[in-house]
Amino acid sequence: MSLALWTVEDLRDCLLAIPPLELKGMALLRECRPADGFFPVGIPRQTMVEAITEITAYTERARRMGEALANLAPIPLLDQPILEYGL
Amino acid sequence: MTTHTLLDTYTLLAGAVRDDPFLLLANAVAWLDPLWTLDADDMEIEDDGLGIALVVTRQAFPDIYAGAVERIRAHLSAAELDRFICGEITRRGIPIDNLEYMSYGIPLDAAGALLEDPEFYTQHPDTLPILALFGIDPGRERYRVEVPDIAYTAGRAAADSLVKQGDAHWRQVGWTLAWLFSCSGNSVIDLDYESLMDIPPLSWEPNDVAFAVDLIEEANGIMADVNAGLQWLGTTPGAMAQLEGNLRRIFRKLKTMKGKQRDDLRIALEWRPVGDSDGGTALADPEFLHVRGDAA
Repeated sequence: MSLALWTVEDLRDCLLAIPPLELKGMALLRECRPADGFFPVGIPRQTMVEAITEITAYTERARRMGEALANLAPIPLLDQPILEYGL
Repeated sequence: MTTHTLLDTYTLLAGAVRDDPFLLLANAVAWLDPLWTLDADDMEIEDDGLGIALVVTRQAFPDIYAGAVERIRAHLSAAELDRFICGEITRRGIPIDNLEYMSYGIPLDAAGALLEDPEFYTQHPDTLPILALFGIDPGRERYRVEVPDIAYTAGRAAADSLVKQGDAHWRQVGWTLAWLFSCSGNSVIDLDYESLMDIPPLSWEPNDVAFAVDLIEEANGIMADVNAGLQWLGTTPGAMAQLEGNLRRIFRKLKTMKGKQRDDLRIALEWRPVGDSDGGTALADPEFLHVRGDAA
């Protein structure tokens, strides 16, 4: 499929098809029992460090991506009629 | 509603969080990186030290950040967190005793000798006999001690020769002179506090952190040699006499030279083992001593 022919629906379907992210911290949460609470304790220090290092890298990437998306240049839709404008 | 129902609800919610990737991710972020919205670029120097410390450790020391997050969850006080983070960063080779200093970049303790400052001689009276060999006498100066340029040239020439010696004691004396005449090549040793403040501080980026650790470790080693050299000279009259003799030769030679010629000093110096010196390869300088033109 050529990129030029992509519609908003194609883009949405593409994004929805991306497999869910799997981070070490998520695996640790999945393994914990309900009794451990939402924030489990007693995880080995090295495992915590690896999980935190991975997730801080992820949140940093996500934060920067959010900033980049917020600053996208507007795209003029020249061939789209805006009916409200007539009002 | 019974306790049993409440527990069932909790289990249901916990299960829902585990089963939904989006909620699970949100929970993982809340658990492991609760400060993810803090941005170092948005923080001001005036902001609280702990906030900046958490941003810094998040980027530069993830394991310390992990420990800090654990302690925040355990409701430890800000003072306890401060002590924990300072202690951990100090253990990594960057001494710090107050998180507020982190706002200004990596803190460095300037050890540079400011020979023009009379206060220096009050703090380091053990340097007086050595500096007297260079014609430096603070006497009763209250505001500024005059240190002739020729003293720096001679001090650097002697230091340059001494640090190349095989004998450990003489090498240590070399570092003592390198400290006194600011020519060790290590900024922490060569610069006084004000001069160091004029240089943009090292950031907490990983490369700068690694550089600072090396710089501080090297400076600690040099200062250990500086103190050992001072002590040896102070307790070994034979070494002091030999240093005096060689300095006299350097000064005699320098007085026959003018201006920039002195940057090109060439003189052979001999440093013989004294007392319990290990001897090493303490031979006469095999090459004529050459003071680098950029030594200053």
